[in-house]
Amino acid sequence: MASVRRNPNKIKQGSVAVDIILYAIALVICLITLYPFYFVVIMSISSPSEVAAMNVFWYPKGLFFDSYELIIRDSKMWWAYSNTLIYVVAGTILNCFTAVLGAYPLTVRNLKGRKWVIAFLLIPMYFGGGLIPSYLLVNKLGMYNTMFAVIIPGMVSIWNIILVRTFFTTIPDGLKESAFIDGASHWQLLFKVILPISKPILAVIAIYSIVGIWNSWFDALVYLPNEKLHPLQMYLYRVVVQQSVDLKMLSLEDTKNAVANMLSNIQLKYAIIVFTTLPVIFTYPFFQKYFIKGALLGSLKE
Amino acid sequence: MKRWKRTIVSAMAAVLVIGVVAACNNSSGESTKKESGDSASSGQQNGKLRLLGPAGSNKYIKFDDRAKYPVWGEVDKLLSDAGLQLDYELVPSEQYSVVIKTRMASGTNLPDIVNISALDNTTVLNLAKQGVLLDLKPLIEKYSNGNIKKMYDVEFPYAKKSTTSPDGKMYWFSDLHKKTYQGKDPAPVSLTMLIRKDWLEKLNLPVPATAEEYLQTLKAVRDKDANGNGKKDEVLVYDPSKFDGAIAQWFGLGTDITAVDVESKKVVSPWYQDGIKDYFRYLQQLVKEGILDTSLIGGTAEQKQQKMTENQVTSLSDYNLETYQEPTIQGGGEYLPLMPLKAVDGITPAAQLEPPFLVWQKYAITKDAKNVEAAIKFFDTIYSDKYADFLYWGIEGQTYKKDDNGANVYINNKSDEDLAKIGQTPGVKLFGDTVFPRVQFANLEFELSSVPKYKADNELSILKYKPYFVNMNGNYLAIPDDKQLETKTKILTNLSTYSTELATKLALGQKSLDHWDEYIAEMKRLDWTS
Amino acid sequence: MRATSQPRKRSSFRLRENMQLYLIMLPVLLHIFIFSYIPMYGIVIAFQNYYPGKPFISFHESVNWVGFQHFIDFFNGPYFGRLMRNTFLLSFYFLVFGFWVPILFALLLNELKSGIFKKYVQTASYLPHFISNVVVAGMVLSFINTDGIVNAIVKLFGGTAVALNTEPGYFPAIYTITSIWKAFGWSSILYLASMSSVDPHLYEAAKMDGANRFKQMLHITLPSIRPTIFILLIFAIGNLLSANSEFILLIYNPMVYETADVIGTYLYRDGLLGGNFSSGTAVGLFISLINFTLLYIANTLSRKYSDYALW
Repeated sequence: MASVRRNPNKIKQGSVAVDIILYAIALVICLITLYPFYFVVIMSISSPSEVAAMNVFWYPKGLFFDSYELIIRDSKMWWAYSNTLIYVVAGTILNCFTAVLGAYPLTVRNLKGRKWVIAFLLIPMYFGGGLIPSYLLVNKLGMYNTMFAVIIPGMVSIWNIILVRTFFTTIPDGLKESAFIDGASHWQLLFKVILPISKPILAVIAIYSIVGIWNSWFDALVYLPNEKLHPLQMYLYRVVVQQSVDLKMLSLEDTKNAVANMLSNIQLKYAIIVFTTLPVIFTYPFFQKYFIKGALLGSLKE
Repeated sequence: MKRWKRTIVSAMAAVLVIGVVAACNNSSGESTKKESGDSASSGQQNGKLRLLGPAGSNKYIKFDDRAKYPVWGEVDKLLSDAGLQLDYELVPSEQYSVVIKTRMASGTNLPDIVNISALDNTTVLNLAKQGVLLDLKPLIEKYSNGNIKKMYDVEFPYAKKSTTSPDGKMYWFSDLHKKTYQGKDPAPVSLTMLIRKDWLEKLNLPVPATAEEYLQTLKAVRDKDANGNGKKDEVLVYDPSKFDGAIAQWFGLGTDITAVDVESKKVVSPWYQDGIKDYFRYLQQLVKEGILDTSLIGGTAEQKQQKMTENQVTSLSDYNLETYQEPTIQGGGEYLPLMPLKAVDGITPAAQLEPPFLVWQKYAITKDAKNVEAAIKFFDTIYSDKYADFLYWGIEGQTYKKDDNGANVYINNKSDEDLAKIGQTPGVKLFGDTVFPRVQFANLEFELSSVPKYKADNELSILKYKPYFVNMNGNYLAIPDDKQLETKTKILTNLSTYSTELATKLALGQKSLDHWDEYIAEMKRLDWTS
Repeated sequence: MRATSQPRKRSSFRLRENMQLYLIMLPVLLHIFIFSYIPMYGIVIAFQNYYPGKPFISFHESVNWVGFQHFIDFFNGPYFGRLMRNTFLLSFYFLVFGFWVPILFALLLNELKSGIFKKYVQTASYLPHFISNVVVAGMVLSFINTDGIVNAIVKLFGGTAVALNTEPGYFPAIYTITSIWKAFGWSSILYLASMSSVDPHLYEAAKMDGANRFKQMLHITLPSIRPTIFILLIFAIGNLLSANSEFILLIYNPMVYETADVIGTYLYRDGLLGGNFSSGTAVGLFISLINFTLLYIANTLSRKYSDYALW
């Protein structure tokens, strides 16, 4: 410390060296995490026999685009795409909204029964009644085989509420106090003061919701027998499930078909993964600006 | 105090709201029910039926395009001649299991006829006990024109046994399959060890005739680098964790923890059979020599396929008449099926067979069926010779013909993609296993005509081979009653965990055969029914 | 704090304030009540011999109540100890070796100057989250194969190839490394968001005081994410008995059951073979109870020693 103080310029010099190390580490991490996706991409455009033999590691072998053609020409896929968009947009908006509504009151210190409310929130994170009761409920509410069956039950995420609440507690009390002195109600405080400075956490909730809904298929599996309502991930799920068929349980003729199916799916799987994940990966940069140092101040100034 | 009041008030408010919501839905539910009830009663005359089943998983031949296939026209005619008007709800097959389980368990949204193959026997019997499924016997007595009885009593007598519940009732119809040779002899195909024929020829090795020779052959194939890639990577693909690979039967072992010895009508367990220790000694040798590829144990079908494609599989356990492996090998190859090989003195090696008679899948009539007469009529139509022909063979002159001996053979042995283009397919690919049961009179003649001679020869000798075990034990086991079931569910998971783990470790030499008695004692402790 | 800084309120005002707050929460609480609490009656099958098609609650004989039999059977089962140990250890390793990785990574990113490179690194880091378990499992298995990449590297440094996939000792490491790799980028998003709420003036002030980058990180950045760290830690402890069985199912085999078979995979086999709904629910309930207790303890400790807590 002492030496630093004597020589302020050295801080900068030292940090260049540190910078280089940091960048090097980041680069390595980047490569390690980038590889699997690269792997999926080159698998998706290599010839099926090379893919089946797992010979592809560094560059595509025997360029093959038929899988993409097959996917693009499939009208069901485009149906699924538009369905997923509906689910994602509706679900994300609802999730952000409910997370804020659920979280804010829990940050107010003189909320009576706060402990109980939190217990009320935590218990369902650990205990559930299983599939059949939920199915009966959705069915009773008349949502079976409608889009609501996927949107409505998933519109509240307790986990998100807790994340937002944690973020809210880091907001300086001074901000709230000044609002109260101006005579604001809790509604006004929430929407006029808290929300504008909560962009980073809302961005997180949005990303979590978008990705979560984009990747989800289980609700659709249970509640939507109608193929026309299927989201995109059911597409991938169906290919993956077919692969896990136990060939030993099948008779000779059925084995023939199963093997043929498996072979054509080995490669198709990778193309579908690329096709179904790329769009959602590209949404990330739009939210990224909220995670940069000082974003809060930026939004305060707005 | 105040806090409590508030809690109570808000709880009451919540209950009220929910009550209203539920009430709304109840009434709307009832009104829709009435509607469907009306349509059903008017359907009384015209035989309307709603059917629920999985859509086929064929990528090219789809039920949605059924109109363009002549065979559908014929079947459709059969159905409409019977006065039936069918309304299909087909759910994607990968999703069907979940959909049917939830719907049946909750007893809601049920059609008249439903494919419940995804449910195990016990679940079905419980559903029947709750009155969700109807007992078919009285209905058949009352409404059937005799087709169902004829098929079950005359053609497939054993089917009755495996579909009759312990209380003597029958809750589901099945897929029925039989494969015969020369018109009447039952013709099982076998699961056996296959070995690369082209490699044996290339290296001038004789076909192994004993287990010991088999081991030496595999070693030679590897050491001489049969695939010529410079690496000693020619392997045996074999899963030692279970007993359903054909090597186990060389040592006279059953095919599962509980296997059926069909000839003597006894249930056996390989762990208590004579050849078991020798079997593991043999596997240990295979592992020690590095022939058995241990990295594939517990692997997926896809991983095994990788080895196959990479041209590294010298030997594997598969159907003797398979033709689907060879085209996937890079560079090509041929698999020769081996007869059961002698391994130990005093034990005649057994064959593993796929039973020539198969009964599988379940199709039931639900409590919501308004017109049971039409439902029985539907199954009368299904269990007819005409339908069976359309289903398995298609249309004579278009998809199949008679060979010189009068046996049916397919005309277009093409890929599904091509079949879809020309619109010629037997019914099974188009609608089999959806809501339409499969009734199949297969023959061996066609199978034999479409495989190389060395495979056909193996099949002809296996036809007369004894002893044998079957690979689908379920076909020979009666449906358990409640008590048997309870004990079964209690012990089965632990027992099979123990069995697979022990078998694998013994085979890999991670556990020594010296402590055999301890292992068996432990197993007996787990299996307290034995 | 606010209560002391403001004039004392009348209780009617308090009541009105509370009403207002509950009104804000009402839709959320109602939703949770309907979709999470109403279906909870399904738990009763843990105390029955349930099969699909039976009613859950009924007063005639079709419901076969067995009390705690399924719990007792599980505790007395031959694999109880091993399953509990494996389940606990796999999550424990992930907690010990994995929990701080996203934090470090977020700190690292925070130190990089904003720019394209930073954006790329961040995006790349969370890509593994998107690759389905099936594909990751396939890659892992091909890497650890006897002639896979890992063994090639081992040989390069003069070692001998090891059967990584059949030796029980290696399984926890394989599982933990893969899980960390898959999750760290994704988990770091939350920390980054929390860091972004730091007032940049604080950094400038610190610089004036001569604090170097490490000190700034230690005294400004880290405190800003402390609440997040604590909350996530509490939940991580509350999940100490839940390993990712979906993934384990894809990469284990009978030879490594000893270290790899967890409660989830056991239940999967149980359900597959026997359709044991009731015992599965019972075991699930037991695990949930333990996890919930752990959460409670972690929260209590955290409140006592750090002032950050869920309630």
